[in-house]
Amino acid sequence: MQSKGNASQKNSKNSNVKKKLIPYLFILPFIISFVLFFAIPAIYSLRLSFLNYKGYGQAKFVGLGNYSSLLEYSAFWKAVKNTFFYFLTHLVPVMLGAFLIALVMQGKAMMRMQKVFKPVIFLPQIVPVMATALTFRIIFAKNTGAINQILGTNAAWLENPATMRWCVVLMVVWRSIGWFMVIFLAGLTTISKDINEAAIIDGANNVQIVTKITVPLMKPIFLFAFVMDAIGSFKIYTEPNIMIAGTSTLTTDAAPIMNIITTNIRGGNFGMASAAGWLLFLLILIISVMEMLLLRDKGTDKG
Amino acid sequence: MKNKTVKKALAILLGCTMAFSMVACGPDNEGGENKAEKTEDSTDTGTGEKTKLIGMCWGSTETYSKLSDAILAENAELGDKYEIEWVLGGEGDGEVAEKIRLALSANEYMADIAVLNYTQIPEFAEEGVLNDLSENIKTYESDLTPAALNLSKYKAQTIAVPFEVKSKVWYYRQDIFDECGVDTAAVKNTDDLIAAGKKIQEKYPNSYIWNFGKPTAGYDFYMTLSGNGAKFCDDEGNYCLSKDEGVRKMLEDYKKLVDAGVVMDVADWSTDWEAAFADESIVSTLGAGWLGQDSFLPTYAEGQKGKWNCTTWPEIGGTTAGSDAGGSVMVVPTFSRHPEAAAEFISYMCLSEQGSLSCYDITACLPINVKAQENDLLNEKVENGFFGDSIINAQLAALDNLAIFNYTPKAASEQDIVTEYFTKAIYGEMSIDDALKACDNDLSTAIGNAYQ
Repeated sequence: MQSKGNASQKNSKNSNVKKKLIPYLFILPFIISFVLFFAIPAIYSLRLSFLNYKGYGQAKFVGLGNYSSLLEYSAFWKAVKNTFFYFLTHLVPVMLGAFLIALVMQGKAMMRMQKVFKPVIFLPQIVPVMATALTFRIIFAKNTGAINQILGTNAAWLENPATMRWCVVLMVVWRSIGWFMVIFLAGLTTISKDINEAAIIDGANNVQIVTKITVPLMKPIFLFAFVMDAIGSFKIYTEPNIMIAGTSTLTTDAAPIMNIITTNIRGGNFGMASAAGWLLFLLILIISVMEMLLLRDKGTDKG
Repeated sequence: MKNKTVKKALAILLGCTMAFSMVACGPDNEGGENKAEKTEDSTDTGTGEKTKLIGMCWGSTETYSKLSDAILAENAELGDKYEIEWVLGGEGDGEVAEKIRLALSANEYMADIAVLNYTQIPEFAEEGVLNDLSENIKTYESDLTPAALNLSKYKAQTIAVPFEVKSKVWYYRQDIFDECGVDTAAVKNTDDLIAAGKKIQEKYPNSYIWNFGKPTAGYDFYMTLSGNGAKFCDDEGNYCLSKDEGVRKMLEDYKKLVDAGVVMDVADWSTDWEAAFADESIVSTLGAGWLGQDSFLPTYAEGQKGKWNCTTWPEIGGTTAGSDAGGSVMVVPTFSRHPEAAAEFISYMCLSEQGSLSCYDITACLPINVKAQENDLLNEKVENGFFGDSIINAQLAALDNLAIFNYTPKAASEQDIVTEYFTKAIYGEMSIDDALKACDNDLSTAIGNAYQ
């Protein structure tokens, strides 16, 4: 009897261990790839950021030298300014535009047309960014560009420091709206219709429903969208480089932080490139945390 | 309890993996044994098997493959010993340099031959990662132009085989110049060039004699800087552009051209640039020999065959001498598996009379070998060309004046920084003084010292 009891105890212990191990086994492929392709390279790049190293030969330890050089480098601060410009100027039109389009799509009037409009608005996201940038480069070209041909002007959209970044923003907005519209649409479907109906019975109008019910309930979705957008915006690279510079070097008047990284890699300054990468990471982290603090659901936190 | 054990085990496993990888990926501070240095070498054809050489180039492998096939077909001895495969390193020479760095970093083999611009040579030569080619160059030395010999050397080392000498050539529309009464032989300096541009604009108000984009292509500046003895730093590697007369003179003359309105503000390789040749907005351009290849002007300005002509540059920035990056060269990195075979092959391909002629036949680049330069094939081929025989004559004339810029091991990073300030200076967005001071400041901050 006792041996039977021991055996069943052993079996249940074994099954407990298995139960605990199985989830880890499921996530093991991710953990291995995360460690191999992200964690190790990231730690290695942190180490590189303290070295003067071109990938071969002698590596010289320079302490915080690469960081201090970057902070004294005028092109770095211009790049920070440009990156913030791209981030801030596209944020409102993309988020507001995508949210409004999602609201319209969800409305009764558009229910039938959703199948047509949704893919059309999402389409720019499917087009490779390289192709889009080249197309916009042609559209904004000075002498042969479509915009100048239509307007009958000869404006140097992509050469003038005052307009070149706005052209990039326009393209980013055009590309991003569809993506965030889909995210917001998914978020809107999670809001129960009962709540809206209750609000209507209580006499709320459409604006009140959106501002007092939809927006507060969409906060977690907004948080996700804002954080994802911040990460993407701070890593912007292809759009300005292909659209403004083409095959030459992008002017610092429009170059984002990623250019500091790629320029240093191209020049064999891996230490400086890594330092710039870590400063960019810090910047994204700070912005993301700020967005999380601003958009967190305080009621839920307290609860 | 079990849960804690599993977590501990996972943590230890992760820690070990990271520590192992850090050691494995770590830079070779000790200058340890280079795996790639172990060559399988070399001309081991005793078994009858051919030695396979890998070459890395940029742009496209097509021309190089055609060329090496032609060489192996015409030279039975080489054909019996070697087979060549060309791989693409990237769109530009900088990407090939990046690949070399990565291969050196990983201590791994990548290719036996690499095509580079001379711009990158100082970096790799200073690090001693290019094989010595002095014996191979010596074989052909008496048949090489001084320009080609210069391209094969860096300081006291002979580490490169010149493939394409990029001398300066002035391309212009002969028909329009004739119509406007402009004689290029009378255009001796910057002021004459401006006067010529103005004369053309009297009849063709929307036509220009050159183009500087925003940003202007780096080679536009370096073609002049290479000739007038400009230097970005002193012998100790401290940046001092603001004190260099050559840089200042180049900027002053380029600014003069911009201010006179004879230069179009369109960037090279842009849609507008290509269209400007076709619609006759650009009726002349000062470039290097490679711009005469079939894939460039003859493509953009199709239908203008026979209307273009070539000559040497007038004196701009105080010089008629110079080059675009000196030229492109082939090197044998230390990670090559067959260094001797690679050196033998590229020397024959680029430097011998027959090899040089094949190069010309396939790439239209000026032959490196002087005997090949006198060969009738040169005249036979150009008869059907876009520029007639003027391009060869202009290149040959410019060859005596070919000079290479004082590139430092940090040349790639330097170019990225100075090009923008130079563009701002010539367009008057900054004064020349401020631009040069800003260059010094940024170069010192971002790079530090040119030689360390």
